[in-house]
Amino acid sequence: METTPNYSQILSSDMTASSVLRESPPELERLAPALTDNERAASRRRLKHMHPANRFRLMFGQPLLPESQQS
Amino acid sequence: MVSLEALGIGFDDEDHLTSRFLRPLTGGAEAKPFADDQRGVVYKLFDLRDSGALGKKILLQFGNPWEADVRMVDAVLFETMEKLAVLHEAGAHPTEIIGLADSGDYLIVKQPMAQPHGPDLDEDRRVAVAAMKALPVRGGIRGGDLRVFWLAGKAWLLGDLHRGNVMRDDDGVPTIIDALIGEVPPSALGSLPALSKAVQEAREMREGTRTRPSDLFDGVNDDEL
Repeated sequence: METTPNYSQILSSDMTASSVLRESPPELERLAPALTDNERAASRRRLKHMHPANRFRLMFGQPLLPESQQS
Repeated sequence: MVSLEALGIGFDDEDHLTSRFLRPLTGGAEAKPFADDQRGVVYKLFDLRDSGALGKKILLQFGNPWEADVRMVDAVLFETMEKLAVLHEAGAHPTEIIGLADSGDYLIVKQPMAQPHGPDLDEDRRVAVAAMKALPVRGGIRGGDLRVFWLAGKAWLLGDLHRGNVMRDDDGVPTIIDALIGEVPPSALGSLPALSKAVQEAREMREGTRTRPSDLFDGVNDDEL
């Protein structure tokens, strides 16, 4: 399974400049909306069943190994 | 490698980060902070996402060749570590990278505890930004209040300087405790004159060949106004 983030998908989204402008926050508002503790917990729940070695692989953009190959 | 448990951090039954010793602070888009009031430091835990993202960065997106929008996108571990080092070196609030959680899901950093900004937020922001030798981009950018600074042979975009990211250090000096950054794409310099000018001046400020940014009205004859 390829886990390296796909930069082309991130950078060349199909958003038009006008849609970006509509979504842009007012000046000096947060560019990045803060996550709530519940959103953080939901993200953790999705990761916590993964083997730690695979979490490190994910963190470093490496392909994940099947769980059966983890010691 | 760092053990979260050794830091006194764990999880409750609903997978919320908790601590028996540290005081939880309001989290941001990238990290959950905990204050160690006894030692006067703040630990920030940047969490890995299931997409592989860890942290955020900014980039410019061109809708047309002469105008760009500021976008916030996911970053990866290397980019977030680079951001922390770059902000530290540029003159933002000191940051120490502690390490990765041995559970493979957090990057942990530490900062001296900061105090709230003063009554004049704009002035505190101006002073804190000046300490980083960052300059505003006057034109050609939409969707965010963007600045640029020069460090390690590169031009960097600087944004997200909202009120929560402007504080004061122990000496009462305004400081940027966090921000979003991104590399200035070389191609943008040719199409955005205001960006190109800001980058050139930011470089001169960093290299010591310029002591102050040019005035918006430099070269304008008052008699002609």
